[in-house]
Amino acid sequence: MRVLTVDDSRTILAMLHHTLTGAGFEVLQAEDGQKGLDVLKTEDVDVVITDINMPVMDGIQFIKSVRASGNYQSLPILILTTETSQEKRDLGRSAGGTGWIVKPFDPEKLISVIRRVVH
Amino acid sequence: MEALELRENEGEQIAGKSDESRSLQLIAFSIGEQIYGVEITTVREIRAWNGATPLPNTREFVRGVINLRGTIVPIYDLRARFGDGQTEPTKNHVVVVMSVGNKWVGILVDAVSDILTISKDEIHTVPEGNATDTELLSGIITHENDMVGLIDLHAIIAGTKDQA
Amino acid sequence: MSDLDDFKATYFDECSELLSELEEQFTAIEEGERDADRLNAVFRAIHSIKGGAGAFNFTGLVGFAHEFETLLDYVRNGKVELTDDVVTLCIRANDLVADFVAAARSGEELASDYGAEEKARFVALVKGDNPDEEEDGEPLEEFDIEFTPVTVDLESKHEPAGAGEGWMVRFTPHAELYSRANDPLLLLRELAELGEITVDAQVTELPGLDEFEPFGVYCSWEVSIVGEDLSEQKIREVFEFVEGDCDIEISEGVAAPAKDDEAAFEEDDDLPSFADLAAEITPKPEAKPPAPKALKPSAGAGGDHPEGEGAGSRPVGVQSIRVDLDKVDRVVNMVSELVITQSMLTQQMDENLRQKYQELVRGLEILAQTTRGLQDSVMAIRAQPVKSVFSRMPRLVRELAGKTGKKIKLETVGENTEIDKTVIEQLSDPLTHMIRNSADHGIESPEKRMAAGKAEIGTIRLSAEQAGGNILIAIEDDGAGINREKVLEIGRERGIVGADQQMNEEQIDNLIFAPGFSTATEVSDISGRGVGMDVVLSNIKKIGGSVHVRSWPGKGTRMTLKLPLTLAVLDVMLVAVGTCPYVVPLSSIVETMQTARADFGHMPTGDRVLRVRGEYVQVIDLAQRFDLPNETPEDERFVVLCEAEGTQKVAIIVDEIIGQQQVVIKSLEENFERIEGIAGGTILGDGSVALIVDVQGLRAQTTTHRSAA
Repeated sequence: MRVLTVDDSRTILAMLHHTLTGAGFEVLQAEDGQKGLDVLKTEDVDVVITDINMPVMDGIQFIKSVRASGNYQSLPILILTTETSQEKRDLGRSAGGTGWIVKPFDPEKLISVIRRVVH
Repeated sequence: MEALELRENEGEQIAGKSDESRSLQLIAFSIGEQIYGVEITTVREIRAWNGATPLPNTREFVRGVINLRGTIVPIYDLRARFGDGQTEPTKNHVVVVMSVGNKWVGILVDAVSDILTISKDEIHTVPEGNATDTELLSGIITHENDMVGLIDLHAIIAGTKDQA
Repeated sequence: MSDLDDFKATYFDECSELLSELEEQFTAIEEGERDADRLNAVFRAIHSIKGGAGAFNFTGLVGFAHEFETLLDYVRNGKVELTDDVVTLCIRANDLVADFVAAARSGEELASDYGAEEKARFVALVKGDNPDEEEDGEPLEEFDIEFTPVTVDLESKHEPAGAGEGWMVRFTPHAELYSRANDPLLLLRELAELGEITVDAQVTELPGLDEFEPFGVYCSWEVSIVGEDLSEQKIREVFEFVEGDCDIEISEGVAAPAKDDEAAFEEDDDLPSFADLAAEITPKPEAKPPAPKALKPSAGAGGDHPEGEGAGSRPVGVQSIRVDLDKVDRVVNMVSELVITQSMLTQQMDENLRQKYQELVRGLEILAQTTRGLQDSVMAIRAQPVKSVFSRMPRLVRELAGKTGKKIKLETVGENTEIDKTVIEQLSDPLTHMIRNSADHGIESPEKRMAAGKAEIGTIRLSAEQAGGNILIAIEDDGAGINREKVLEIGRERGIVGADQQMNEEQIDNLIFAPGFSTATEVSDISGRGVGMDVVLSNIKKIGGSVHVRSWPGKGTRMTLKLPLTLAVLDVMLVAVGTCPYVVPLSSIVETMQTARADFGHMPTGDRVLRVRGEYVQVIDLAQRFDLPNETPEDERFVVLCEAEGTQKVAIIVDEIIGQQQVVIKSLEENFERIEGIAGGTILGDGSVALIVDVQGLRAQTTTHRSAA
């Protein structure tokens, strides 16, 4: 299983990488939404985990762009954010986000959430 | 052949096959009639003398520094170290490059004579008497009627600054 | 745990970058650039710092950053007005965040109420503008999760639960559920983890094929679950992501578990594979996918995105890599060697050879070009904008202004000028010291400034520019300038200047760099600490640079640092002392002359001195000092006039000047030990070692020799 992780924080990317590879996933990384889209142009992934607050292209715009691109209507996208306020979640969901993960994440919870949205 | 490279890694050293804990391999070299030895595992390279750049304000046994593949390595004149005056080196003299702790050093000797396999039991303590010998040797062994002084490398490289 | 330490190291690296960016953004904001981009960038940076801090359980930092972030969020959304007061508060808060980060890094404990005052002000601002609104930040308890990486076995199946209470779930998805890539099958699979489930699909709504809409919603499910510790909340959690995208009815104790799957699905014979899948939860790629998905175009188990073959992670979409500086240094060193070898090769080509081997010459020229290009590219890898150092200075100036009661603003220019990372690392202390000096001694109190007809707020201007092979960094202030009378007086008092020695203005100004000089009569809390500007000078000298000061009484002072672009390669003059090659750094050489043309004199002590333009300069005969035999007639030797400390010069006598070249500095201490008067070694084109003369060290050595005598 391949996971694309999109976050501008290297710390978060490193932790995701560690947790996900530990669970046997293959991990691809991007530092912002635009780079995330670039990865998706050439790579197939099973699930995307994305931050919301990022420079260049934020997570909301990234999700919208992915959903709009046609090939990715059924690609699960998890929003990784510290924003637990309903407002942020709704924003992410209306953009097409499948679910969310609250930072800082519990590794077990992270894996179980991914399992919840991926075949 | 200009230089004989023995090994890059300490770990590759193979001691005598039987009873390796009790035996020891030495590289033996001569200064005049006297034979000295160092444990083979410390030796990095043996090369012909090709001059050295003198270091100012150091004692006479510090012959200077050479370039060993981009690293600057000091050369100690073993004859001078034992107080017998500076060696007048020729192309036939030999520099034995060794690692002492995390430093690399070279010692200037007349010739490399042999590789000896000895038993640790054969190592005797240095007899009291000659202060320089007691200071610079860690032991003495007898090999085919020759007396071989085991060099204490840490002692050799100590006290390099010009005291005068 | 080393993984955690690694993450922490990454986090602190990231924090220092973010803090330096924040500093820069706030400086612009302070100057009135309050556009959305900046506010967003600031918000994001604090957000990132908080995010990582949470993962490591740095509760103090999280708590503070959280309130700060909330305020910033309100600010960027226009809910709190960004007044000058708020800007000042934010800048102060930024300094506190830096303190929290530093404390987290060093493991030291800050007072429990550290930053409490500012925190209270954030809350007041946020609440004050929205008295009715509840705090909408997340509860901080959520940050108490400690990060412990674990390996999760994805293959493990949930053991079927034994007897327990039964629940009934009625689940009707809406179209939106599919548009967000949620999948009923997965939800059912997750329900199956809670207990033993029986699924009944309602397919009565399914139209005929002619009316079938691929994205239409025609199915609903009734699921009965039997398991231990079941609760409505646990079941609701499964549907957490699809709330609002489906109708859910959950009721307790309705159906008993059907032991016979076939029986439960007898009406749905056409969909047996779905029942199997849902009940057994093990996805079978070869099994027929469930009805709603099967009818979508290109659906199927991972149909759009087949699982990658092999687990090896390919570097994809990565625009930059992080490399150990050690590795880069190794490349830099090797390239430097290459540059020198190449230039030695070129020097070997005399006219004769050039005529004879024209192809070889052309080859060498191409080699020279390529090597030069390679060197530039490699150096560019290590180059960094001086911004990383400059950005620490605004805070320093604020603190200094606070301590001295002066009003000071800092201007920075040219922060994008790039210098080798190793030089940058050496730059922070000298710059700090010089800015302290400007704030302490340069800028006057507001009253004095007003009285002198100057603007109340003093300005310190920090600038960087590249000039040829050097970087010039200037620290200018519009303060009172150097008090030359006082400086000269102190210089004489401390024996730095001879009683009858005449000095011009420039020389007096540069006295502030003399060892043991400090103009503050009382050692002040700011510039004092027992060390003076001489430390600045020796630090700068160490990296091959020089310092120069000019002052205009009543108008201000300018200190200029001249730094090499890189430390890896040193421009030197190759000389011979006796028969031994030595090199002298070009940066310290003022001029050279033949001994025959030099104007020597003798001090009453008998020491030889050189008269240059009315100045008496100490003479050091290197052959004598280094005890090397020399047979060169006295008149055919050379004087190399060098600059040691500040304007202090020293004349070195050598036997021959061979030429100029670039060399790579090699350590003597790596395998030997430090030698007074020698700064290191280098390897010449013929493979021999030349020693680098330490001009400053030579002079210091002489001074001690003399004072001992």
